[in-house]
Amino acid sequence: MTEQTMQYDPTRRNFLRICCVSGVPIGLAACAPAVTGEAGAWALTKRSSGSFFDAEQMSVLSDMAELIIGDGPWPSASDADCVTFLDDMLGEWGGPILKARLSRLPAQLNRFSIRQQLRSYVYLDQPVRAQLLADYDELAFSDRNSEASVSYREFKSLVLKIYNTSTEMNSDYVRVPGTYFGDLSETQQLGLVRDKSEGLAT
Amino acid sequence: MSTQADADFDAIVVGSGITGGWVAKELCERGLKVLVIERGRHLDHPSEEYTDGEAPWELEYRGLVPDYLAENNRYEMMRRKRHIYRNEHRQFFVDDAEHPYSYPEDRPFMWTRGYQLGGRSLTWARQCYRWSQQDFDANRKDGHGSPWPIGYDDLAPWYDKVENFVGISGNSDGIDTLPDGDFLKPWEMSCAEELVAANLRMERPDRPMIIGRCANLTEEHEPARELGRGVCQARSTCSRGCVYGAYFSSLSATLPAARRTGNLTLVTDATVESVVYDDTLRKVTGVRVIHTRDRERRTFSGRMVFLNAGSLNSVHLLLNSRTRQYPSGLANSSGMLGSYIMDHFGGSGASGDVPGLDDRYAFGRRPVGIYVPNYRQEQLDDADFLRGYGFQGGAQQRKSERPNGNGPGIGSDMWERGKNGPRWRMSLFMYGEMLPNQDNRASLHPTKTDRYGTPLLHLDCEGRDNEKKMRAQGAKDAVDLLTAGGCTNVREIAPEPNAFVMLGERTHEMGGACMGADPRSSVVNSWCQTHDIANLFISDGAVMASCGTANPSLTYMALSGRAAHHAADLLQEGKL
Repeated sequence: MTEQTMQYDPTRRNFLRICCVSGVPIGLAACAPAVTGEAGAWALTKRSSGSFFDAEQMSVLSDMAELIIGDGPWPSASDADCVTFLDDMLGEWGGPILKARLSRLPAQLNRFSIRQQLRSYVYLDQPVRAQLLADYDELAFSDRNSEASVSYREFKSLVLKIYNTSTEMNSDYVRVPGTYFGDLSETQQLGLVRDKSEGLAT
Repeated sequence: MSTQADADFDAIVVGSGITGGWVAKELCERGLKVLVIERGRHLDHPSEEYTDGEAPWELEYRGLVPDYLAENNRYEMMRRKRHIYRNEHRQFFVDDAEHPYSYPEDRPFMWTRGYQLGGRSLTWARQCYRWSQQDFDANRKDGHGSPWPIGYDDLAPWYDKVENFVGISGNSDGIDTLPDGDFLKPWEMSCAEELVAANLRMERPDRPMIIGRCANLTEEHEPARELGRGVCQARSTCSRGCVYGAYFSSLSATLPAARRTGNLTLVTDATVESVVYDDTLRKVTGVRVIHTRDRERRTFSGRMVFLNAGSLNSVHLLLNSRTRQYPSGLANSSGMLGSYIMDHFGGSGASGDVPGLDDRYAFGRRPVGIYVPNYRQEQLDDADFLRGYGFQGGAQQRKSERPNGNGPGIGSDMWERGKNGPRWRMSLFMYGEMLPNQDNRASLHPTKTDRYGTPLLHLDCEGRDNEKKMRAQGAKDAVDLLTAGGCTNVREIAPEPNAFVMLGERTHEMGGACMGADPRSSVVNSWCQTHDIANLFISDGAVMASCGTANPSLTYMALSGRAAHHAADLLQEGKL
């Protein structure tokens, strides 16, 4: 891999060489201390195992989803249960290739973190993680052919599809509009939404 | 509703979709005993398979088609037709892996099918436009394809009948190339569409933009009410089925109308393998079916047979019904069976912002867009192609504050990208008329067969030079229309000039058993009756001698009603 591409060699040997540990392919928790020599507490929220992802994967993917959606006057990725829903769905919904890709994604991001920050992703402070993910995102969309890019973009796409179809993002959804109006003021439109949106609108 | 039946029938109708439903209704109402055979499963209306009432967060997998299907190459063509690749209506579309067909590797054909009672009438786009005399004159005028033996006046009474029964919304627009009918009240244009249409009336008065005409009930309509159909609720979930029956389908309208006569028998889960032909009588006597659940083969007898299996399936059935007298396919003395496969083609268009309306909003989800009828057939001075095209599209509000994952950026950067541009954006998509070309063919594959041993249908079709030239001009015209309409930031949608023109993308496949007056160059006569066999009729899209530019379903229905009425006359007069 060069510093400016996302073409990771997924071989076990290379992975272990980067992480400087021996044994079976390792999780994120074991990876970073070996590189940095520190064993500090995780900076991101620890999650428990899901029905498909293990605890570490759930933790990293949930954090990624939070950063992708970001903070603002909108629901967070956690509010919309993005990764929880994905985890619940993936077992029966996903194919083997996608499952493998998404399972590898936390490790791929971690390797990027080690290269960029010399520390494992889970030990980075939130602003650093946000910048790291922004860089990862930019690379993923500029170099679309690598396996790491495909994995990340599939994850991002799924997170946003789940997010945009959540109740939290559809508080103004009107199940049965009854008719169509094509030229309303904002007040008129909001009035109709309030009247017909099943009380989800706030 | 589906029953098994051994009795002889006055008529056997193969297929229960938009045309089969019309034939069944017309024949049953004429007092004939009719058997409709559907290869797919039985559905009631309303059906438990409908998902129209579910909100986005209630849909199974949030509407995402299971990924493992794509990884196993299932639903390949549905997947390629990205806008329909949704889980909430996947049950109404055929998986190519289960029902394979064949095409040359470098010339794919996008064949979208629906194998269930009601066929594709459950998922059609519901656009209803009459053809004009110009459309029926096209083949005769430029010498391509078989000249139509009928004109607008022949079909007009049946357009009236079909529209009256179906319930079509729209305006009487007074456009020569798009005859008016007796419409229900139209859907409103959005403010952005109104603005662009008004600008076009001034800047391009020969290219009017109108609200689409569609088979969604906008008001109470007696023939529909009698069948329990209600008014459209502007949910825009039509492709998932409609518990209100507000859009027309054979499942909600024609089949119930046929059933209430007491003359209808339905058999589902039965694939018609071939039509039975009696060399001595020179008539068809029935059909051979394979029951798809137990693979039992069986023959049904009838005094006449209507093929309404969908253009390509009807052609497939005839090609596979080879006899000593018709070794290349039943009713194929002309050798034209399988020739002149057509579809509307697209690939070009444009989109642009509609400025100045940021404080205006829409409410409801309208099931129709706008329409720019074909103006090109009379405006060819700046064109290097034959025939013409129209545009469909619409102006929609940008969904504010709704990021998507298809581009770069995370957090606030991603949200900001979603906010770019004015509130309203308009898009136009071209619907071009293909030239009928004898070399665009459907045939039986020489070696590959399906699970029942039937040779696969092989489709070797493509848009050619005329279509490519038309597509290029269509993109320019779309840009011009939006620019003249007052749009800004107009973006042209134009494929590479020589890019392959794939057929089937519009799901308007036509031809293969074309209508014509000359038995040497066509398969059916002006009544959809095969030239060769008097009691064999085809009245789906296979009979279309040209493809026009307007969505063809209304014309299919009018042709079917007219053909069935005529066939009933012949039967009652003892002429079949």
